[in-house]
Amino acid sequence: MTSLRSNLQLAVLFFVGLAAGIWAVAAPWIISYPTPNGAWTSSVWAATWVGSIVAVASGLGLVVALALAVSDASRPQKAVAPTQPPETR
Amino acid sequence: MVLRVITGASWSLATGLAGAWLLISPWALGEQTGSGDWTNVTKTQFWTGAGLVALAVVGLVLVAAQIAGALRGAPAGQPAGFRSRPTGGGVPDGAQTDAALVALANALVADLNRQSAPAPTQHPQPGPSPQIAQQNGPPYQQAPQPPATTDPWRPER
Repeated sequence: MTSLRSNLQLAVLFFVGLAAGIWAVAAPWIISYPTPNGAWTSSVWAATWVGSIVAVASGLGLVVALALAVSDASRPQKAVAPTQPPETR
Repeated sequence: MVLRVITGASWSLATGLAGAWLLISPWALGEQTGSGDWTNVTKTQFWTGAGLVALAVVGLVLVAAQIAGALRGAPAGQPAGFRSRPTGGGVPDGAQTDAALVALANALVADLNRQSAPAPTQHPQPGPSPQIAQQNGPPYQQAPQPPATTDPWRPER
């Protein structure tokens, strides 16, 4: 159960990272970065590359975290062994 | 556990580096002078980069907390991610434990018997091996020591 919770925590973090990456890619057009003669400035290139890297990394991490969470959730619970003193002979 | 830690740490590293670059890019690329007011582009890139760096820090803290929790729950000297898979439902089998204890006791008894066995009465004579003695000629004879005339335990005056 702890493992499932850890995976879900990471999945939430990766989801926020994916959103941040998408925002970084889209920001030049949302904020209307200056593009003289339609050419991309270095700010547009930087934001696009950084956003793409973060979005791809977050997407991959999200897939891995969700897969681990599903694997943990579908695994049967281990039987708890009763605690008893060792047998003396 | 291991895959989760590697994924989280790698993501944190990549996101932290990317965020740090985005944070300093307006100055690194020369689009923002040091003294002027910040443009909208500078503000957007700075705060986006700062957010990414903060996310990376959160990810590192999460991964560190998971590692610490796993180490706390593991047996002494053995990380939880590398714990050996238990056989037979995780409960030690009594027959296996008995067999291991019997083998250990037998080994101890054999070792004790070996140690308490009588020492050999005749030791090999020290000296050069036959090959070396043949090369060096007649065996070296130690000069006779003069008898001690004084008590070696009494200090000299």
